[in-house]
Amino acid sequence: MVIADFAFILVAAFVLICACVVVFHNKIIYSAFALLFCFFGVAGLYVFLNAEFLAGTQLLVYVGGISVLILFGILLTKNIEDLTSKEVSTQKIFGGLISVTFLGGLIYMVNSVDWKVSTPKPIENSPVEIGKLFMSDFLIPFEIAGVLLLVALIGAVVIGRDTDKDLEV
Amino acid sequence: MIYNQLETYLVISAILFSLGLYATFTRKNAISILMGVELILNAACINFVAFSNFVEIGLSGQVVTIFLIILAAAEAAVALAIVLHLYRHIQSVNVDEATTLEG
Repeated sequence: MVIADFAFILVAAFVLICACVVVFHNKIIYSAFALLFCFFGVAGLYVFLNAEFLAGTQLLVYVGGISVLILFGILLTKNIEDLTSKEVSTQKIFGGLISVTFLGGLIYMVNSVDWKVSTPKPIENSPVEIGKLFMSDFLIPFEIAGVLLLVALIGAVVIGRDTDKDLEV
Repeated sequence: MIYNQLETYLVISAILFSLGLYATFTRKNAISILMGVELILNAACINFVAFSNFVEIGLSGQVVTIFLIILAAAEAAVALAIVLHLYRHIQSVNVDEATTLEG
């Protein structure tokens, strides 16, 4: 149990340090790479929570998809030599005040509520059970998610198109 | 037994949420703001999975988390398309320079 505790503290500290780098670093490309490692760490937390299938999904979609998309966005909107330029942050006092207030309130709430927890037990064949839930209780959200992905796909292509050239045709 | 307590995960997700909130408040770059939003979504995901593990509700929390991941992917794709379009129009991705609608 001591080893598991140690591993958990390592993963949690990794996630939080990476998130701090994302938020406080001046260079946006460093922030993006820290975000990638932060997603890795969150996948590790899912493993501690007996959600191995979700950990795999997190790696596939977040690390393999969203992080690469964000990196593409950064590289397409800034010149390579601009990557070292400092990024300005505004309203530090105001934003910090609101964030710290939220953090204090949330931690106070977590510690004051008497959570009705039960001892966690690993679920056998969790991907099979998740698939059954998709096809029974969550069927309509599942279908809507499919439509949403199609809409987002078409929308991203239409918005990202070079409209000025299309208008001339 | 720190890893076997619900409160630990809730505190971690609260810290992640606050960091994401701070990023969305203070950053000017639209992509940095998007990264803050991703942090907030991840905090929500950790909460759902933690409750799914520690409370007797079966796997519903994990299924909701998969929907959250789908939403995050769609949101990131559309948001980055909008950012690229903005960059083409005003040669900048700072949100305080996109003032066309102010008149």
